[in-house]
Amino acid sequence: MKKKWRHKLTIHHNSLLTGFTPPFFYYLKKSTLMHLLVIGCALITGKIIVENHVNLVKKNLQMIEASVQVDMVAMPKYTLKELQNVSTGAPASTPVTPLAENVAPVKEVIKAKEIVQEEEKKSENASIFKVIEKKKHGNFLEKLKQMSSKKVIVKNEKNERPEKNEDQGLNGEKVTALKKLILAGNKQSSGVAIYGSSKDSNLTSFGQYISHIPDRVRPYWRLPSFLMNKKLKCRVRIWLNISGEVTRSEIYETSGDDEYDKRALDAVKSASPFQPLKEDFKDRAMDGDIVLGFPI
Amino acid sequence: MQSILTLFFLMFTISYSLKTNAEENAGPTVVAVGEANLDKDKMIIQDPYSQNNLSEAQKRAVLEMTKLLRNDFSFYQKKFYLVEALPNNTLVRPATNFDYWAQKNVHYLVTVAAEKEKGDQIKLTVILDDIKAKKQRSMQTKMSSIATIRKIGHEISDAFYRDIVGKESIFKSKIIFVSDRNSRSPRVVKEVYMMDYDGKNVVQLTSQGGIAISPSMSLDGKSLVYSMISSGEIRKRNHNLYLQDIKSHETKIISQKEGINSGAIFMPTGKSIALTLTMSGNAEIYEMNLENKELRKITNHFASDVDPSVTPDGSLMTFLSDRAGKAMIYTLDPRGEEKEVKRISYVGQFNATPRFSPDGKEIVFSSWLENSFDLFRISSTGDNLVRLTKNFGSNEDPTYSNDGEFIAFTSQRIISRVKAEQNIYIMDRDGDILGAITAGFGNCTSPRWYNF
Repeated sequence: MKKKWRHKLTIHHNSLLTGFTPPFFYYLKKSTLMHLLVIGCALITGKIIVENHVNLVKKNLQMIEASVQVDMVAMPKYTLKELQNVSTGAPASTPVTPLAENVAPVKEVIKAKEIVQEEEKKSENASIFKVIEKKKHGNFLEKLKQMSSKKVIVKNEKNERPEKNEDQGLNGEKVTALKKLILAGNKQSSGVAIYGSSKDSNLTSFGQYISHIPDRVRPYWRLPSFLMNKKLKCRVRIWLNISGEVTRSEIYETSGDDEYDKRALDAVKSASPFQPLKEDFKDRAMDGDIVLGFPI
Repeated sequence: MQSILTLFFLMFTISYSLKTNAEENAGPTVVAVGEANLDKDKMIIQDPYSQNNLSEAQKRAVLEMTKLLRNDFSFYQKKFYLVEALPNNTLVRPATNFDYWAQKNVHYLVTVAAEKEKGDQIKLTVILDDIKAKKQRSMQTKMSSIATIRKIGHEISDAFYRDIVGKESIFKSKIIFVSDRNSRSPRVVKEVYMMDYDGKNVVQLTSQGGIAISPSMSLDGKSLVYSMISSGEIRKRNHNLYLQDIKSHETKIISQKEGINSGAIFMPTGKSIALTLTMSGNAEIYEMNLENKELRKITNHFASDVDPSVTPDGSLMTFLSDRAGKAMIYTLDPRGEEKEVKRISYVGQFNATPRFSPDGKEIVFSSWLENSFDLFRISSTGDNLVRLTKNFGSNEDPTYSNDGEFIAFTSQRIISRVKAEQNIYIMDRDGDILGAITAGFGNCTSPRWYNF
């Protein structure tokens, strides 16, 4: 090594002494190689930094339930109850087992509820409430007075065609798949975000797999009223076998309440098994790479 | 050249090591399950164990109180479901058989024991057993007469509810409202009344013989403010503002400026009110000091601003305004004039009666759609607009319960070709209608819900 450097130094020294200059291309070649080396180092370093940042972002954002904001452009047509009743495929609630022997279902519901139900049935065939005064173009207070002094008008039933049930289509059929689709489109709910890249196909496949787990667990995720109001949260780490069964589960982050943590663990155990694992991500699922957030 | 290649190989090795290390430290993947569903608690409230030394009237009163307990908890149908047990055959309450009730999946068992005390007093011992925990959770011992047994029953329900859920209930709350039951055609008379939250125990508060509108009570329940349309020619009628002391019934006019003096609400301090006045030729919202009657403008806009509602801490007020050309809902900071005005609603033909939830995070309001009013709910920041009522007559004038879980409102139903009746209904905050709490009491409107 020393000899080489001495040799190079000698060449340089000789060139100074003799006035002989090494060829231009000699230095060009060396310079190019050094520049390529520096650029290569810079690219590699930059790639490492960016990948670290991206991984950190992905780790924080890999909650496979993203919120979706829906902008209202008109007053909602469907009530909150109608939208909540749109079938999502998950069971609505656990069935209530009636008590046997000497216990009967409660009868003491609020009396007026029966009257309300009867009135609702009547109003379906009854005439529609209508304002008889046309809205005048006037000031705001006049409009308030008009709104508060409405009179009831009943349509002449002889001239009225019977109203079609809102659930019936043109051919008088019952609720169609189209209406369910419209209802589902009006539903305000959290969306599903799948993160992945064209280079990392394993993550996309894994993300798709774990996105089905909340729907399986949620029907079993129930809390009594005294825990609902406390706004607690916990996380449960799960290990799966190739069949999708939960082989092990443990509290990853505790809520601080034993009952809350126990109910989260029970929900996971009740929901097992999940879908079978695929080859490209089974190692991650079997190594406990899945953590379920209750609620987030 | 060799040294360059060596250096390059070294850099590559380092970078690969760092990349592998970054992957290993990425951590597990977190997926959100979402909010839990409510697990309803199965509850049994048994028929009372009444001693023989009670009179028949007292026994009936104790039985009615037991039914009142069942009715109270049945309001919270998302938290509890009540199951009825057969009448008991003994006079003395036996020890609770926790294993038996646990087999029936009962979570809470309530038993009432009554015995005669001195005079007309009844000694009530009401026990709440936690079957799952296999222990007595709470016991209430109260002395009551037949006249006060309803009030005692609501107090017991409230105590048990607080013990189980950890927050206040609606059981001791009151609703004030306006009814025209004293009208004699063609003269219309509207007075202000107060009732228990379940529609019972109705008490008349005003006796002016006029048309009372827009009632509001102070948070301590001691004062009532309302507007009344003065008599005389229709064109010259004024909306005057009255203040009444609930205890002494002493009533006085506190504002009779020209035009409208209406829509008054008490501010959280209780020392002032916010109201709508049209004395300047335009409807504006003012704050009035009840002691010296000094006025301070809260809104100041050429458009009409009416119908204020304020959060419990007094930091936010919602009101109705047509400054956008249509009646829309706005919020502002009432501690200044036109301070931080924000438009909340952007849709609807005519929005009305915005009212805050007790926590100030939501606003419920009515909106005109095609042929009638319906109720909607929106957050106080203007997002998450949802519809609550539909195909249920015309629904207006909503008011939140003290715990924010229920909404009382006026609903107009058709009775015949020439008559429609208005009654007050209750629904939960998601629009599940429980039923009417007034019936056969004239047209009942303008409910306001309080817990004093």
